[in-house]
Amino acid sequence: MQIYWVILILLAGLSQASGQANPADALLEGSGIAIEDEAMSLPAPSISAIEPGSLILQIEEIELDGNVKEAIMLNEQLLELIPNSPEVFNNLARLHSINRDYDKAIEVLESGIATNKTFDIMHQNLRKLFLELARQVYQEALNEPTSNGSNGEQKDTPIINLVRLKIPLKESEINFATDRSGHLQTPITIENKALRKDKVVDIVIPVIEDEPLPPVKEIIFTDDAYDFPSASNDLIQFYPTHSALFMKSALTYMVKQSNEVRA
Amino acid sequence: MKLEHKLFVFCHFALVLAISAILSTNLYASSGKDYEKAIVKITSNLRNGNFETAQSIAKDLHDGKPATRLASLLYADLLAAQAGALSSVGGLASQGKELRNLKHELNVRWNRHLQNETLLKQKVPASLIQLGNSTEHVVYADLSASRIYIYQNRNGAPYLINDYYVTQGLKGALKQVEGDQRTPVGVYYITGYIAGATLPSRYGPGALPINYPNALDIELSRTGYGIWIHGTEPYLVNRSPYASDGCLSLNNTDFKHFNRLIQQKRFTPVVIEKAIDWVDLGARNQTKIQLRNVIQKWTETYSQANHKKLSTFYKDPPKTGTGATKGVLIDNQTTILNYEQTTEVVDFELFQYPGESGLYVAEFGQRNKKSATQVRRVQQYWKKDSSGNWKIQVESISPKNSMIKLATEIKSSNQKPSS
Repeated sequence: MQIYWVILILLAGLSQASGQANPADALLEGSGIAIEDEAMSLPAPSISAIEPGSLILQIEEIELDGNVKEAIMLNEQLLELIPNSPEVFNNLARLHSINRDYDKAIEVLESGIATNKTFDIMHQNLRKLFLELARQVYQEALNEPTSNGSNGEQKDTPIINLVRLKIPLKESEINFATDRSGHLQTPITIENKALRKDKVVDIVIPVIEDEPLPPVKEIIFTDDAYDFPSASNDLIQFYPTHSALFMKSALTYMVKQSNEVRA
Repeated sequence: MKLEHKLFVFCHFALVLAISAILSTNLYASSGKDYEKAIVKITSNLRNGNFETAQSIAKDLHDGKPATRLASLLYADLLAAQAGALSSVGGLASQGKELRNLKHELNVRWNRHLQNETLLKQKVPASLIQLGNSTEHVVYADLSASRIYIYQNRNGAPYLINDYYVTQGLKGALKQVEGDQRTPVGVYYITGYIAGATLPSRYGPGALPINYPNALDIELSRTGYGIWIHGTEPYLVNRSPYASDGCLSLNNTDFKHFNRLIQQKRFTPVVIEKAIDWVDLGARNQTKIQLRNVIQKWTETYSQANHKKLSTFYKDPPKTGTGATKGVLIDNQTTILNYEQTTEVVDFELFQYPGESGLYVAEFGQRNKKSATQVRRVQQYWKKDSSGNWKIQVESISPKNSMIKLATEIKSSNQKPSS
């Protein structure tokens, strides 16, 4: 949003500057030429470039090119444009997780959940992240080679799935591209399509199957006591009542959220 | 003004450097003691429901250096709990020996935390019966608790001054043969000090070898060598409880502290036991009185050079000739004849021998009554026979015998002008 205004003001300034001389001439002249040069080589780097639709497309493209860091940057811009979208939070967390910055991914998902309490996928993904992080730390604790260690074992599929965002835009401004399954639609601005006509057709975003979640261990709780059917005594010795309650809250929270959405 | 500014900038720079240095190392793991406190803090917070505090300490330890495996396990558990997937300590980790080891470490550290400090100082290990005058400190290892205690000699009684978490052999206690990766159980002495600079890095800041196999071990055909007390790999805060080839391995800061306390002193007794048996400090020990008297009689008989009478003190009639451990002191007739003068027992030390039921080891000096000089230091392993009489099972010249020579050497070298 900020960038939008900056460009607008800059353009307004330029048009003014070309009309009549003023003390800012010297300052604006250089930048004016630069913009003109760029405009000639790359057609229409305009307002549409920061439309959410084309930004989403750009993010996906950049990610496919393997530039995750830039994709994160653009996704953060997107979050500024549409700050309440759970999909954007989710996808930003996804990019952080691809970058193996799980702490950041968890942070993003938690703020996403704070804005959208009923978006089931974010809860599932948060759980997946905690599990993945736990798995890695367990390996470190047991002195086993970690997945980002020297043995080069890399998890190819991201932990978090991409959630395609659907944004209603003015029809005059957008075209839609469908993916292989045909029902997910990516909005593309007309200008953007013209700019990258050949590329748009070629974009194939892989449809990622939802990984089955590891089974939740059966933990039975009652109001004032707790019981772990499969637990050894050590859990009760070291993580007694309160911890059980903690786990209870974590677990019931997840389950509740899932049921709400499914219902 | 300029200088002040420069000084300010320099100070600022130094401060930033110092802060970044502090941040990159584990504050909680700056020593083994601090690390243990942090582990206890995480566990207490967990038990009290302060999960955020627990997680923040665990994460700090996990993220810093040296590597802290137990803290990492607790951190992983906290993460797994948030995914609703925790059913036991280390529930999501691959179940096996490594996890069992870490859980054992958590157990022993937590149990140490549960011990009452005041009560701990009022109790002593039953095996430390009497400390000799020449003993300043005793090192006592309780292998079942993965703990090493340092006792100071206060009028012959042990007084607890410090204790540390300790790692033992991969296969646990009771070393029998070379390469069995077990830690010996028994009474030993520190034989010297090896500086860490001359050793591979896995030994940490240094090593204190002990005299395994001792006379009893040899008698029982136990083999092996090179049992040391040493530090650990520089990248680890400590090894897991069972992770050496039989040595006792300490956290590096702990080792330095330990070494300073005992002043890396040769002949510091090291008593290693499978499990501690606590008794009240100052409890009257009947065995001590009995054995003290029997040994005094032995030395008197010895002085009389009465071979026949002397034989009655031994388990079997001692063999003649050399090479036999049993009764070595009377095997050699010349020794007896040389010390025909009356001798008395001095600097008497007595331990109940760990791992051997009813066995006691006495270490003492034989002093010439007339000249009041020690002629020799002796180590004897005593046990009651079926009719209730104390008999010497194994006997040897004490490893501390060289202490007498050492004392005279120091005396003579002191007289020489220094070059």
